[in-house]
Amino acid sequence: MLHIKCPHCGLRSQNEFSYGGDATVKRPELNKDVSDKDWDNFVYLRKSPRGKHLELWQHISGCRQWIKVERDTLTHEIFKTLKASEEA
Amino acid sequence: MSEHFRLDKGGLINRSKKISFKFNGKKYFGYEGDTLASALIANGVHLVGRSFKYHRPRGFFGAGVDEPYAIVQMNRNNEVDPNVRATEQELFEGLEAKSVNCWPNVDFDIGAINNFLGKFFPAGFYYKTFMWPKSFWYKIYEPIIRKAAGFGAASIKHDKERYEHKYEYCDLLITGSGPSGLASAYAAAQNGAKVILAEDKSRFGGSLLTSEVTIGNQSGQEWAEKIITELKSMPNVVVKNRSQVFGYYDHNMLVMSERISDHLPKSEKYIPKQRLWYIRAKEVIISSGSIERPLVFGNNDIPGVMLSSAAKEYLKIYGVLVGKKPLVFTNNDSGYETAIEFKKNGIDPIILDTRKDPNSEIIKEAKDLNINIKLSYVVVAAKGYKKVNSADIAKISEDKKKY
Repeated sequence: MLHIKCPHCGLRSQNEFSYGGDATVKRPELNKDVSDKDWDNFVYLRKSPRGKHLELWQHISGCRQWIKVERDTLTHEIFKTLKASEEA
Repeated sequence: MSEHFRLDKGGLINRSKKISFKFNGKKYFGYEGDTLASALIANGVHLVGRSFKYHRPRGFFGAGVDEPYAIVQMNRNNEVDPNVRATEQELFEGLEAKSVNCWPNVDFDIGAINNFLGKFFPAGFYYKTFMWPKSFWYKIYEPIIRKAAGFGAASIKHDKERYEHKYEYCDLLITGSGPSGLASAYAAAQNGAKVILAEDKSRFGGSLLTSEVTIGNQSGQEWAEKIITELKSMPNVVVKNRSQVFGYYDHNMLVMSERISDHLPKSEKYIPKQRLWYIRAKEVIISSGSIERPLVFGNNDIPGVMLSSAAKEYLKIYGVLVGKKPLVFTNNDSGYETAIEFKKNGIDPIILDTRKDPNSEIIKEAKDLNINIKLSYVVVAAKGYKKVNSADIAKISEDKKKY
């Protein structure tokens, strides 16, 4: 079980969090024509990197804030955690 | 029944408190501090089970968590507990246990016929044989196969025991209370670290309890006792026996199972039977010691063939002889320790060593005690059926081309 440092609450166990997927995916801009391919990319296509991965987590049993976590998918090492508003 | 294999003195058991228990319906006696295994061996019982497919006789092989054979069905406080290792179950007054995977009983097991029919069960036998006639499956084949499969029988009643789980945090988790575990726990605790010391067995000390060592001017056992008493008095230390750390997960999350009431005739009110600990440790020291690796020879599964470290443990901790004519087969110095312990208790062992010309202090000590040592010898096969009675031995030939 991972030990994640919530930027708001401090070190907590993984079972307080829920996973929110890749944090680098950007939604297509509003009020513009978006091709089917771009929608497809945004909604479905994800990389499955081996190594460093920036991802979203929600501290669901704590402060309920969304946070960003930079984690190694291979070793589970967590390099840093950020508030959702911060840029990595 | 008298305890023919119990020594008159020695061991860490409490000889002033006799305990009666039942195995396969027969009444035996042991002492407080015994395990089911040590008490049975003291009574000369070595046949405790049958193997899964061929129903070969099974005895005791180890003396602790490493036991592969002596798996029994426990009856405690009107509840059944399947697949309990006899080497781990501590003795309590009125304990009842029985052998599994044998019918009608462990001594005379009809299923043992498989041992002689093995030739007729080639790979794929089951898949091909039970296909026809089709109507036989539900009424005949399946009920028989289901009856033959599995060891212990699970309880069909609701389990009335309490089980707890808890979370804990510490600076240092130490698994095992042998010399290195105790020393590191003591050093860390004195520096103010929050320490959890977990010991799988009921007694602290690990290998200190079975080996002849001195630390400072104390025996290893006295030293262990002193350190444990001191650790228990420190507020920043949690000392747990009967607690097995069995999982090491990401970010130093460890899981430990504490057996709180398994060694008691019944659980006290509001006290759980077992407790599961989730421990988040900053640092972990795994000082679990090691398990001896068995040597390979023919029929090395016969009851009475066991690890030499286990034989030593039965002797040193429980004051029990696993046999009166021991043959120690070894390829390193540790077998000599066992042989010397036997010799000190008036039993003449024979040592077979695969090495041609080994030299060390302990070998010299064994020679000085007039122990019969055969160098460059191996056991080819053990003989006997329900209990080992002899062994074929051979000298390793000088030129390795011939056997």
